[in-house]
Amino acid sequence: MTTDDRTGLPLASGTRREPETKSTTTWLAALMTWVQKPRIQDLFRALLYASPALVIFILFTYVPFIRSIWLSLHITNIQGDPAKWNGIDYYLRILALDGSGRTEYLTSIGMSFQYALMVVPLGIIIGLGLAMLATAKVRGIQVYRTIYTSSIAISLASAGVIWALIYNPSTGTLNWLVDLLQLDSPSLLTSNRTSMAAVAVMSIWSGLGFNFIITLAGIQAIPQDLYESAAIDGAGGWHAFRFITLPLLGPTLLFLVVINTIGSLQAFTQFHLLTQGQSPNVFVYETFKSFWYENRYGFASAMSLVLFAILLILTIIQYRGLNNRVHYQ
Amino acid sequence: MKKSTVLMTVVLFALLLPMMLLSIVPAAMQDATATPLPTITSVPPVAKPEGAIEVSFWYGLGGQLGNVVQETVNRYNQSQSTYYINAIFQSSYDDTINKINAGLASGDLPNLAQIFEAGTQRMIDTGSIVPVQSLMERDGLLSVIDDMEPAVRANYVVNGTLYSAPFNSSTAMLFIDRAAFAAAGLNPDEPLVTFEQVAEYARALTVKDANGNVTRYGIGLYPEGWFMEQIHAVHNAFMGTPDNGIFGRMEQYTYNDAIGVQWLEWMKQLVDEGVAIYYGPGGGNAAGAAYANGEIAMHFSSIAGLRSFIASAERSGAGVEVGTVYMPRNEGVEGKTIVGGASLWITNTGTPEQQEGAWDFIKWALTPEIQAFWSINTGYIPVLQSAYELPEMQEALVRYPQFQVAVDQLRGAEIAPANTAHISGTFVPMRLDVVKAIDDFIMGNAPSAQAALDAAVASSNEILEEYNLTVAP
Amino acid sequence: MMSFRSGNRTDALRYNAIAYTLLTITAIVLMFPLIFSLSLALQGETVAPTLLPTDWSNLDWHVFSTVFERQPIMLRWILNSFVVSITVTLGVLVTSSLLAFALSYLDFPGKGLLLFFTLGTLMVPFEATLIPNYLFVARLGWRDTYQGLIVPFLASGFGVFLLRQYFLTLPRELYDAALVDGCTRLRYLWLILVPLSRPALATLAVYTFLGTWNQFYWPLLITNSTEWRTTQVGITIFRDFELGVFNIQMAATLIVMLPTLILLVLGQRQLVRGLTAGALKG
Repeated sequence: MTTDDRTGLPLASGTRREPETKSTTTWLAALMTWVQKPRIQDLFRALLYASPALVIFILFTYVPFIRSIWLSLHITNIQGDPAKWNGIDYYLRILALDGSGRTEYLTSIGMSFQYALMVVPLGIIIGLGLAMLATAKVRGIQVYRTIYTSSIAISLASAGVIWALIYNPSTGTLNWLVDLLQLDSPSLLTSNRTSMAAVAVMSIWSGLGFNFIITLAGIQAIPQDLYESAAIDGAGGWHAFRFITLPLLGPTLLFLVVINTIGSLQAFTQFHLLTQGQSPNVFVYETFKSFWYENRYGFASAMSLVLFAILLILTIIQYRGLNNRVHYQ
Repeated sequence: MKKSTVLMTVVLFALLLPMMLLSIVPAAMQDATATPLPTITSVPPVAKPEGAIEVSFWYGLGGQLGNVVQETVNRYNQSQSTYYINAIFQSSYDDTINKINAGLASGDLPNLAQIFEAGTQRMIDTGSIVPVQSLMERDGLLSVIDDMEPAVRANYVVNGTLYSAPFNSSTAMLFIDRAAFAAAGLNPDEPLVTFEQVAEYARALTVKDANGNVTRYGIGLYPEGWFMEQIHAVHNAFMGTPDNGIFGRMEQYTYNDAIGVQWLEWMKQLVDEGVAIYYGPGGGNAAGAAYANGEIAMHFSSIAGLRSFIASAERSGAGVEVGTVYMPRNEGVEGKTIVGGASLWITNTGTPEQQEGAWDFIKWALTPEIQAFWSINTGYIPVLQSAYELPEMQEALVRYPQFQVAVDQLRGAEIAPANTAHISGTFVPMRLDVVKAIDDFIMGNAPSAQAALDAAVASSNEILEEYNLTVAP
Repeated sequence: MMSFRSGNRTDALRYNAIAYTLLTITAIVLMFPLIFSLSLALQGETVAPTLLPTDWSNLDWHVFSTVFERQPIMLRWILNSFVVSITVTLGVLVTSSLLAFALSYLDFPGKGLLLFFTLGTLMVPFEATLIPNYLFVARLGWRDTYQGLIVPFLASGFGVFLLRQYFLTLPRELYDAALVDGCTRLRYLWLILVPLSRPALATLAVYTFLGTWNQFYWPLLITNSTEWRTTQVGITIFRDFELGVFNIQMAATLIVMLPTLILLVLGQRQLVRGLTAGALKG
């Protein structure tokens, strides 16, 4: 396979393939020639460099992953071993193709997307805004940067406990907002109109430190002379942002879009702690439930494979779509 | 170092230093301001004696109740030196049984485990346990079973066998604020039993300020699977067939019946009227806090929390007087509430000595003295009737008349299959389905209570049927 | 990026005023949950905590010592978390740099596949791997050991992706020139790429450390005894099941948060040094 140097993705038309060498007489000589090709030499180097990570990936991600494909085709017993062949029934059930007309899993996939659409763009935009703010040339800016980053030091579990109390009507923290929105329930979490947004706000807060620090690092990596020459040309402020900062942040923002999308479609701790997985009822929570509470490892495996497929397709789309517009320096 | 870095460090440490410093100040220096609590607090485990056989014990009660578990274990360890119980907290009841599930394949099981009643069938199905009854028979201790609180005994005897030793048993109550009752001109001592009465009282107990904002709701509500079981039991209605699974494996759930629908509609009616406040899934703690703080006048909870509520109500200073009444019901029904809580299971994976050690601890725990100690310090019901003969227990009953109400409620009707237990291998997901049904209906996501419950039962049965397929018949 | 160089003194003053106002408001909003949890911890065993303490003269500071009194083993949990988090962080930095280097500088057949394979690890939901991994690690006899807590996390698809994206923003001419000068690839990676990538490495280090520190389900499954718990699992013992009295729980949460917050302050310094050293001028 021929690949683009910079993106690592396959090129549409492979042009670098070496012509077939017919002049070699022995098999060994052919092999030697092949091995001495720079790209093949690099392949061995690459495998060497990759090996520590690859061993871990294979042992702890791919082997269990393949096992879960196998499990997803079975009903599992109490020990988590396959007990009965089930074919693709689980997949049909999840995708509501089993003829029962029950669509709760499809609905929860929709909810997951709704949630991701709230969290990903807002989280990245606010992170970008904070990063821009944190480039202000004032004294003590480091204190602010630390504060902006602080949420990555707080686990989702801790954040969830804290936010559950913020939304708890007994603490009275947000009662003014409940009144303002004229909700008919005591908490933002128990109103249909606001529960999803309430979970999203907590998630955005929790992810902000990460989005901020990555964006800031990206901005800091932009060579200052670009801004200086732009300033000489009389371009500052918005123009500099629009035509220098934003384009050069491309790889960083692409990275954030991909990571945030994967993260928010896999999010469950916040739902677990804030709403115990009830309305909004997202797909990962359903997966977790069938895994942790129902101990249906086969079904949970099928659900996680559906999620895997969704993430895979999305990432490829994002990568293809955005990569065209991303400039690597 | 740059100035900004210094400033940043100063700010952060100004926030955090006091807590670091104060965390190393000896407690004795601070006791002047602390109000001593009558409850058991700090309990590090006692040291293991040389040569004692270690018995691992997983438990799932955290917080204050967990302290009492550790204290009980400490007392056992100090009472003898042959065995040493190593009590290990496993985060929650759910996580305890899930860890056991995960450990089945790898043989990684504790010698002794505290498992909630929802896990009974699942534990039996592991095939990795030693039925407590067989040990009682061997040691001629069947009289202990006779001494058990009848409702407790009935709850844990499955298909004629007592598999595990009841340890902490409770039941559901309606907690009331007696002071709020008096203020609203209601008599807190008058028996309050029917749905209509509770609804009526909730209306009377709701207080609004001059602007029409509610300052105290009549009742606080939250979705809880256990209450659905309780409501069925007081109406002597089965939740699943055949016979709630107590004589043979449960095959179908049937809680989408008239009682189930009535329970959901009753709750939603109160919420819609504005006399109940809905705390949502997992809202039990928030509702409990609101109750102790005088924000709601009635609250459903387990009697195990009695001591907590009394202590909290005193601390909150809102003048709440804790009282308990029976779970609501329709006129003229003849059921009673059922037992909840947890029991102790011996696994067969340890050495024979470890199994003996686990059994020795159970024998010790099933004595009137320990049962009284456990009950007095928590609010759980003693599992042995003989515990009530002890002076300390009698004193506790005088001191906490609310507790007597719970005992009366449990003994208030003849034991019948529909009010003893619910046994199935998929109890935990069933409860989640019930929570979802209640939440969907109250939040307006389901067209009717019947529709919400039908969907829940369909889900519960799907899981149950699959589970039954995978266990040996 | 904000620019005020061309302005006069009044402009500069106005710039400062606006900047500080915006910075401070956003900082307070972002700090709010932390301030709130500190406030809850200090309000004593009340069932009705308020946003800020109503009685400032009677704050319950010894709630933090209570946490250690009730669970003296908490110190061991903190030690465990440190050992695990630091080892995992170092491991991830090494394995990710190596693989990211291969993915961004070498040209070989199957490169796309390797990247795909790496990114794929991010998309496998943890439910799919938790139990098989548990059984595998248990079979190795690694329950209640540091290796059981550490080894499965020694590589990170996220880390590889982060570093690769960063390496790609660095000038490639540098690499070509270094090779022409006879520099080996590993030397280039160690002597040039790593120092140049300090911001990204620092970010990855901080992120990995925090992520490991904050793990819950894996340590819960793979440790059976109280002394092998990590902090996040350990502190669940402070959850009160019957009634929401939150001060001890909040205090415990803040205590285990403290090392990560301190790390953040220190990590930030390192990060800033890397950023301001003009590392990218080469």
